[in-house]
Amino acid sequence: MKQLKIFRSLVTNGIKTALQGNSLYHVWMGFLTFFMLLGAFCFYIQLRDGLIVTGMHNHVSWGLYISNFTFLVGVAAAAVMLVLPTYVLKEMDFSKAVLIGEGMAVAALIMCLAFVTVDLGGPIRAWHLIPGLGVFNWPNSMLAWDVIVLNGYLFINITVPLYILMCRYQGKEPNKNFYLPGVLISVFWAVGIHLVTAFLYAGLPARPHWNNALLGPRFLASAFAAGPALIVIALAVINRFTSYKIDDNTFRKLALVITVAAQINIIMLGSEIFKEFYWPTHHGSSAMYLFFGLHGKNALVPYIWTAIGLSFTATAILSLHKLRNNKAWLYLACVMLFTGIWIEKGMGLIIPGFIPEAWGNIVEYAPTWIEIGVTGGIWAMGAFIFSLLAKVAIGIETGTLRYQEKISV
Amino acid sequence: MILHYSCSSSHQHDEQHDKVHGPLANRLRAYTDSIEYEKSSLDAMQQVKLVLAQIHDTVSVLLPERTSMIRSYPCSNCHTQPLAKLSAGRKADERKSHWDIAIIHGSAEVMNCQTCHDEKNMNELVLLTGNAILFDESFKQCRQCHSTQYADWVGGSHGKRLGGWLPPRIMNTCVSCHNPHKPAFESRWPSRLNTSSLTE
Amino acid sequence: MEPVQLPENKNTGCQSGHCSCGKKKEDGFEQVMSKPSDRRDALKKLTLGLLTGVGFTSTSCSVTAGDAKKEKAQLNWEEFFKGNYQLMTDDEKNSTVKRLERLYELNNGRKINVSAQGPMKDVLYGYAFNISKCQGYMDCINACVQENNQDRNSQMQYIRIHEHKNGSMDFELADDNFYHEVPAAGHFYIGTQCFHCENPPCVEVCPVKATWKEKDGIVVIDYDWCIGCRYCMAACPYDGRRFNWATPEVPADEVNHNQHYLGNRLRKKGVMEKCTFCIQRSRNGKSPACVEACPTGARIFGNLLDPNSEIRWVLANKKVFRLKEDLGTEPKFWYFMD
Repeated sequence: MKQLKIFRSLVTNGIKTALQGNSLYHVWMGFLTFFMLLGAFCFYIQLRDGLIVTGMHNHVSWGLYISNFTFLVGVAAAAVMLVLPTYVLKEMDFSKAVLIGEGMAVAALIMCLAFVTVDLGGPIRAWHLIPGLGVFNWPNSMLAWDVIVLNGYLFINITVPLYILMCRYQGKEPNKNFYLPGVLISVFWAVGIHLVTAFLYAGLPARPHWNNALLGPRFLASAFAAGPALIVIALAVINRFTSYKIDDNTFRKLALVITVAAQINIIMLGSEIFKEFYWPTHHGSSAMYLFFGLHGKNALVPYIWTAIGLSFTATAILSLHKLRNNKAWLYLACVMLFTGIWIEKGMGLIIPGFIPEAWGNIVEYAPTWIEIGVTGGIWAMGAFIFSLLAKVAIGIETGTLRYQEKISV
Repeated sequence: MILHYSCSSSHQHDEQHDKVHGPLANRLRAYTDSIEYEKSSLDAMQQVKLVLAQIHDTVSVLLPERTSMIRSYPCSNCHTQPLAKLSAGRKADERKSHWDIAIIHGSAEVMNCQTCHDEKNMNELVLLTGNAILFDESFKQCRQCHSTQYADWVGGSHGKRLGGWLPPRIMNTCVSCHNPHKPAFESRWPSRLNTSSLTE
Repeated sequence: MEPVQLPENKNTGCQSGHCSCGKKKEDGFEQVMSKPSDRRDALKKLTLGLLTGVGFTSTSCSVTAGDAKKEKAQLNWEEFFKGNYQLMTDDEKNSTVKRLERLYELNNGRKINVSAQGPMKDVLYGYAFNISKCQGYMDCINACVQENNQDRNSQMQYIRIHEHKNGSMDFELADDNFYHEVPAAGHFYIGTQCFHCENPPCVEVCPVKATWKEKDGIVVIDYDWCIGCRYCMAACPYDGRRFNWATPEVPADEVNHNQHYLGNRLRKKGVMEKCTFCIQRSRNGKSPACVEACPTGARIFGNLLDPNSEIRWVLANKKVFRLKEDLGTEPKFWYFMD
């Protein structure tokens, strides 16, 4: 009962905190709200007319939505990079960053679920997916697995930080025996969500571009580069605009994680390219189309080379100690790496899986403005949620937000 | 591999597949008993006149009756006399009867009208042996040369079923699809464009 | 890849599963089913209770015109909360079919006949396609579209005819959009559609079991249970599946009124559909529309379990092959040449 009361007070005070802020904060949130509303309007049009308003068609049947979903699963999984050393290995450098990372995981997961929902032909029938009410094709369907692992991961990433924040909110030290099991599970779970999402594609012999054993590991490598890169950017913004100061050691440790992951990612990319092009087969047609174009069609070529250019440059910057330890270069490399992997997971992985289609025809795909609007709306929603969570968490961490008995009574 | 095994637990399975292991085609060989059906292909063919053609001891097919489909049958309405007598009385510049029929079937050295039509009795056809057959049995004529097509037709890979897939077998006869005077299929425009990959 | 041996049917007494021989032994399926339907009912009642207030205020204005509207709302309501067809009892199947017929009548003023006919005993459908015979006339496609009430706006087609140059079977080099007199000299034609695989990857991946293989081997979709995630589309190696990107439209006088729940009944926006071997025809002993329409006899359809069927003769006497056999999908769709 008392816990419920504290929770209620946390929520009301949290909302109060979230609504207050300087003008820059309000401009930022207003900006995000505008894009959320725009996205909602685009989604309304899509609901009214059907998915015909998107650029998808019978041959490229997944597009921007599922691409972003795939990428964001990686971002969500990356929170584990921070959880692991902080809670388990007592590497306290990350303690400040970890709550931010988990907040990011929550935002990313909500975005994932939103992207899957807007991609459905009948979102109103989504209740068929709820175990108990609907019929769940588990364990056969990897999508059923994905629904379970994503929601489970969301649950863990809400409960663990919530418990810690609740304790801190009351000025108490969180009990390790309480949250440590949750943390341990989430470590494995994070690897799980990304592997399951990779298996969702890798399990399809119909799509040789995805049907390879390296897909899962490569997902992990790129996720552990892109996710922490985003966290570095978020921490940099927090460092700059709030009183919550992150020490340089945290940045250095994060940068190291990103560097190693980015290097592994590049090695795996090289391995894939070798396999596809040393002896080109029909199964490599997608890669041929992606990198060089096929039969005069080359819509994806600029995307993939941009992505590879960004990833290579960023990895090179990060690999040089001098540049990596320089904040400005680090931020630049993180932005480049994040963008590069985002493009590569999006236009460079999901779309070419469908091109050429089952009988070898090349039918290209380009997202429509409606699709871009909905996507932008969901990204804005993610940023909005993250901003709220970060603001409340920082409030509690810095001690400005504290439980007071008389407020709640 | 694991996925394939796991599917057995949830699929609505049926006893048919349990009999034999191995690829589908091998499994099917285990089914050797004739099957009794509740329905028959004749249900849908009440309006069509059929004739039974006994191919050999074990195989018989039903064919659409032919003579009522021929516009001016019986031929003896006009051909009151055997062909030799009819053509004997014809003047040199007189237009031939059946002038519109050109035989584009085999070479002129091999085939002419009398190869198939009985010149003594126009209501019937004739085999190479000189034996007369009914118009409804015309497939016997075709098989004289087209033995492989005939074997396929008897087996079921050449020609078309009528009245659906259930037994008894009702087949189009050779001349249902092939004009005997000009048996090759003609080229023509497709009845529509294949748009499945054009729509975008 | 070793095909799976499927476990024995528990109801050995009634093989079809559609007879009414007293109380059936409850297997895992039904146990799963009995719970969700209860919960669904509870949910249905709860929401119905909440919404009746709204319904009353809106219908109280016009008492006379309200009846049809109310009935429609009620039917739509029950349709929305019905379960997966695969798990319905025969009674539930019949009542949903009745509802669909009534709804069509209310909406369009015309009657349709929707069937819930089950599979025949000892039947497994198979299909053979004679490459030597197909001339690319496309009559099959027209017949298919008319029979199966496909969307006319997007010109949805289940069948694709590929024009190959002699000397190559490479589908990447084939022309799928030919429009010239056929057969073109030096070319041959191959038709593809849903192959009704024995190991259908599309069925494996569906997260809600909205698609499955019937006992007679036909892979079907419950259009009302499909959520439109299109995972099956990504999983199909044969481009056998189609999605309704917009609301499908069929002119009222072109609608085929002879329908099956799992076959050609009218679809809605945002669901999958595909070839069903014309389930509304084949379960009545008729051949699929494409088979009937083909002027060359290139298409052969029949019962794979019947040793006297033509399809079995083709398998036994012709050199047959299937497409992408290396994927282990076991299509029940064979190709052969004369």
